[in-house]
Amino acid sequence: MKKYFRIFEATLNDKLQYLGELLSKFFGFTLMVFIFVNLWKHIYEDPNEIINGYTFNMMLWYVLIGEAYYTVMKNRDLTRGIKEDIVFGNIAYKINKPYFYPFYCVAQYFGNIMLKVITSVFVATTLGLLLIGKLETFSLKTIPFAFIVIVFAFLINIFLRIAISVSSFYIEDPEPFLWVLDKFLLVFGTVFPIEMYSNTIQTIIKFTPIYTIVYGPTKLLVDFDFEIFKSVLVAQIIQLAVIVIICCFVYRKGEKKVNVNGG
Amino acid sequence: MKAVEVKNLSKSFKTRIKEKGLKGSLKSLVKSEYEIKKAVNDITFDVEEGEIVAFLGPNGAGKSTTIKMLTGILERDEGDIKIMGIDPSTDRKKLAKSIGTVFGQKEQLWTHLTPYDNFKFFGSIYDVPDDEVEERIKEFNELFELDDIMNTPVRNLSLGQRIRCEIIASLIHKPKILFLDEPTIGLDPIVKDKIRYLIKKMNKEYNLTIFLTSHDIGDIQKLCERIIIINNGEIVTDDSMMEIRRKYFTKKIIKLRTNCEVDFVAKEGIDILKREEEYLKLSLDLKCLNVTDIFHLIPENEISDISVSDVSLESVIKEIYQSN
Repeated sequence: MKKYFRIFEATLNDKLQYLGELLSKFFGFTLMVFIFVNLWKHIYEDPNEIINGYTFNMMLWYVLIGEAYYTVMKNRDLTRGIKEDIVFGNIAYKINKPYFYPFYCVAQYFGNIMLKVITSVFVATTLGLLLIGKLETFSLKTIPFAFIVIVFAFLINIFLRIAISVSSFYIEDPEPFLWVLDKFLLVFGTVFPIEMYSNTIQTIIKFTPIYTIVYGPTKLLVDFDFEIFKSVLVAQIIQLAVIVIICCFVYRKGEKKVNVNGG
Repeated sequence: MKAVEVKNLSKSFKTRIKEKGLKGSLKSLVKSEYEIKKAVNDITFDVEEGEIVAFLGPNGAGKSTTIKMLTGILERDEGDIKIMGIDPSTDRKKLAKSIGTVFGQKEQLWTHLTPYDNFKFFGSIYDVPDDEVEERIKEFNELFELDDIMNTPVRNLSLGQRIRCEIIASLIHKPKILFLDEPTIGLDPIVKDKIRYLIKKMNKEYNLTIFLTSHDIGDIQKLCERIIIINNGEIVTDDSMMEIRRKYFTKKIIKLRTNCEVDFVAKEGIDILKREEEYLKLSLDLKCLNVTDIFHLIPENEISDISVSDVSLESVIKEIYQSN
């Protein structure tokens, strides 16, 4: 475990060198939030109106937290790195070390996002308080529960992305799949809560990572409900187990295909 | 104990072949054709503990594929490999802790970290206790003279300094074997000598087995006791340096400067490599003649300067490559 912590630490150390670059990424985030806040202001003609269980204040905070999640989660640097490792053969120099490459990527992922998480909590809270005001339904007591589902959400997210990225062993470019994943997460779980969709779509979404990665943690922070917490957590445990197995299977099979020429 | 045991090792690669042009591309969409290329073909060799072995071959000969199978990167098709008694394909993690690898063209260090942080990092990766890592860093610091650069980020180091750090990082877990793939590539002659001196010293002090590939003849001459040459996936030579000298260094190069233009005619055992007015460069076959025989062919009083040297190892290796 210590070795993975060291990988996390080294990656975090690396990210500290590029703090300016990180802060610039939040410019886009701020712009997106500003657009959606104004969009929802138009949809909610009456601020006291409740649409599909969401008050105006809850909806704006949902979009804000969801957008912050989305910004942190997508982490293209890591998935692109995995793809390049495989396509250009650099993976050869990583698989002869005494660690398991997918876990190495998980440690790197957490090192990559740690600063982003801290910055996004700060930026999102400040923006929310300035543009929306206090989240009316928020309670500090829900934080430990939300924290559990957030950790699971991050794990599902990264193992899913690693599983897609290591498919580079078989297909030349996994980027289109990652693009589709990002867009699904954005449209179905981030900018609109799933309650905005028809019952059929909601049922389908509940069986997908959208429910466990974005919707679950965001919904629980905005409007905590113990029943939803249980439902999200059970779904997360099942999904994480399945995705980790798939990820390790795809990697183990692909590892045997390593083909390094030259040198 | 044998450090490396390789028996009947083979590896093939399947590559897609495509006819040229757009027509070929469209055709390959419908029907893909593959070609099987045997990169390594039934090779067998051993390396004793503490030996320094050069593993040579022209580009595409199969040396890189072999090293990658030995270090657990590539899966073999057939044959057996044992590295310090460990099978790389079944126990890769255990193997990783017994070997060190330095690939001259691939950086393993984290460039934003200092050498000290990198060594600590690699120590943890290999599960070496912290106090042992500290001790080794201290030891290597003295040996490799890293005091001035220990706290400088790797990205700010020169290539020679980086290679020194790469070697230390690969030795931090005290491996029994070090695989070096072109360790001196791109370095200037002084730094090359320094790296070779350090490699030799590590071999002597720690009885470290060294398996080296290099296109630099200096590396081979100054470091290796034995040479294995691979070509077209097969081992064509596996001899000690002494044996190589005995077998292949059968010619001497003689450079002569004369007082006047001499009428020299080549005879059996002598080839004229270069002839200018008062200068001759000859290759003399020791199987036919002795070096002193030259004085029977050119009168001593006509020679103003003479030098006798061996043929270069480079040309011997080139000859072996070409003869196969």
